[in-house]
Amino acid sequence: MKLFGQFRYIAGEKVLEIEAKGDTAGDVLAALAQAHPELGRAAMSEGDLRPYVSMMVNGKSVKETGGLATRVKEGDDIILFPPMAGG
Amino acid sequence: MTTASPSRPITADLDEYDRKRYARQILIKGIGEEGQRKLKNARIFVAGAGGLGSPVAIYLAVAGFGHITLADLDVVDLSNLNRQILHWDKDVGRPKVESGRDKLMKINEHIEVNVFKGTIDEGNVLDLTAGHDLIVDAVDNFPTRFLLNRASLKHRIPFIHASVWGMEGRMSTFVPGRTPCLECVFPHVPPKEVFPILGATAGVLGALQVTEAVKVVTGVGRTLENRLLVYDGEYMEFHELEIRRDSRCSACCSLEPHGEGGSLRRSV
Repeated sequence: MKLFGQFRYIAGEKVLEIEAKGDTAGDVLAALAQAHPELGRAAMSEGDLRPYVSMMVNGKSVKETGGLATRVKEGDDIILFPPMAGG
Repeated sequence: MTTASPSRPITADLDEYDRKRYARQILIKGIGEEGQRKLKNARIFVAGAGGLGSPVAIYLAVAGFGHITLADLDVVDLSNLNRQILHWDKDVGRPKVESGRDKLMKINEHIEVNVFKGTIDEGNVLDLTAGHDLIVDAVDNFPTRFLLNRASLKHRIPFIHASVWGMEGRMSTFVPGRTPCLECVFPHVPPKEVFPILGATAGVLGALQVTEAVKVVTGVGRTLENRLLVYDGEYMEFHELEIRRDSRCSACCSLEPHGEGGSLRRSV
């Protein structure tokens, strides 16, 4: 999973390898929250993505592909975007 | 709104001065004299005279955009000077639009610069942006971006969005009826924060926004329509993501599709 902005600051890494127990975007996020609790709190609330956080799988927002039920497989390009408001 | 007039009247057509001053960009295939004439007659609304607004306004001015409106509420603060290249030490405490207008008129005294010092709000956003051919987003908050987005949809003029954080930035060009709008892609307001920012990051994104503005006005090349460009300066990478209209978007769901062809509200 590729991280940007403050998520990269929190994780201290640009890319994280996530071992998920299932095959959905939600399973990946659950594994992320377990491995990196602070990052999980920054990106999620009550088991869902925070509304201003974007998750992309292979260049498409999960919002358009089934939300957290979106199927993912090993090697998929997953990006987690924090909000970015600066100008 | 106040106006700084050019040193000579702006004619609709290019004159010999223009042909010489802009000769090197007139050479660009797809711009030419006709494209330069379009830039000269274009009216651009730049919302924000800060980190993004500085390079945006400067590059619009040197490119020969004939009518630039600069809107900002703030005065210059010392902590702005690492990135807001329109403003210098001597400007600390001055309204940003006044400082910006002075520099722009020195950079190119042959254009018209209008300024608005105040808050862009629900009550004035449509009037402020009326009569412009496109809106450039150089603000630092999403509530104002949403107002500008709605104005872009109402006037059916393109909206060139960018935002920055640290050494990263994102941008897209939204064309009403033909692409998603800002709220399709970013429907929620993030929490306010004091964001880190390298001046050069704003420079990169601002220069890209002006590149898009030139393309929208002249028709040269292919704009960022339906794509979100992500700039990662820390690792010097550019990523591109596909973005789509959200049929449930409260801002643009009722908008009729825009025909193919020119992106501009009017012919310039």
